[in-house]
Amino acid sequence: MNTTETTRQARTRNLARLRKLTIGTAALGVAATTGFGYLAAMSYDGTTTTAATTAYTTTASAATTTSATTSSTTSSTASAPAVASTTSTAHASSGGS
Amino acid sequence: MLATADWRAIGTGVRLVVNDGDLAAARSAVERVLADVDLAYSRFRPDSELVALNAARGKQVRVSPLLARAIGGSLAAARSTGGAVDPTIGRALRITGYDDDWSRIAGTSRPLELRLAPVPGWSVIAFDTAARTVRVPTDVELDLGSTGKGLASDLCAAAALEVAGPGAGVLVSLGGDLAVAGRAPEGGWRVLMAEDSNDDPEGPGEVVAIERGGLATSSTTVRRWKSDEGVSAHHIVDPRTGLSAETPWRTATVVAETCEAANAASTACIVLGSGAPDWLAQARLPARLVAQDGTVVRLGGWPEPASDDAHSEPAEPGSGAGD
Repeated sequence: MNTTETTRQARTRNLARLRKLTIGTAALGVAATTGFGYLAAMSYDGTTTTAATTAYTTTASAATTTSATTSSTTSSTASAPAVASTTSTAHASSGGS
Repeated sequence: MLATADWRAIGTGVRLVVNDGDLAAARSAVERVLADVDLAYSRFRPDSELVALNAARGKQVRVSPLLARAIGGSLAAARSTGGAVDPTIGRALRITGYDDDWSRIAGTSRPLELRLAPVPGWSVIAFDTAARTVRVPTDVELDLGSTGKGLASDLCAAAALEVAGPGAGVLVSLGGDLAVAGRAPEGGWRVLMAEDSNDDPEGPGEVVAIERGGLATSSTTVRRWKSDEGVSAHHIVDPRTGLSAETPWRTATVVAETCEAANAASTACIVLGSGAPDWLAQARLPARLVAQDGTVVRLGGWPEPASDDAHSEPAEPGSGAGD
């Protein structure tokens, strides 16, 4: 076993230890974040909890951008669109990109 | 009648399909939106608004309506996913090696150095939607990748529909994150569940149809890289660790009211790992998760495939199919 391998093994061990530590502390972090998020939601003006599909238009010179149509909600409790199975040819692919 | 256009923009493939409408006008509208999106919140353009905001060193900055919309969406996603999707991963993402447009990273032969950085958490961002002001603390960098592409698809679909003509319908896909608007073709907008969004839609595999909303897929099999020590990383960062997410899923596909919401949810599934099914049940979102061994898990009303030829996908863990 040479020095380089020892260093790499030590690094791997330390990385694994770090991962355990960070995941352990994450539980506290998530709890704190959730708590803060709740408070923030209480005091927030609410615009982003109903995240909009904003149709916006630009002028020919793109000098101005105006927000317009606010239409749909992205609330996780909204009813999601139905998904059907089909054997027809697809119009698009969805995968990693 | 359907008309289709394909091209590349904002570092990914763009597909526009128009049902009974003006394809040229719709494409122009999509191109305008994408140009605005790129200038507002690209992490790789030195002249983008987001880059300037990240460099503001804690000063309050008034941002454009588009960037405000994007930041608002990213914070809403952070809240609804319990922090699994977090826009403050920017620095962690950059120093783990994803520091440039992917097309340039994929083409380089230089060894990538992996380092660790804590993720500060979305609650450190001070954002006033009414005033459109944002304060990003020093050493915090926003990355809107988990919601920004989905939002861009939604905006493109809305803009395309506006000019496509009466009674038209549109589908816009940005790297496989797609939004539909207007009148769907008979049988709905059909989408192939693929390993890579560049796969031919007419190829074999499971096909689903939607009439409205958005569909997005997050994957750990693309945009992967290795350090010179052989440590593997991918582009989905777990905010709890600052590292590429360790997950049982190779892909997660979600359907939601908007592509932005689907985009956030699919990323959250990768990060949440084995906790994803419970979170999806609570969120009531249809989803299709593909495990590292190719096993497909369908949740929330996601249908079984119409034929028997698509029950699982070939398992090539870490295959690293590129964009």
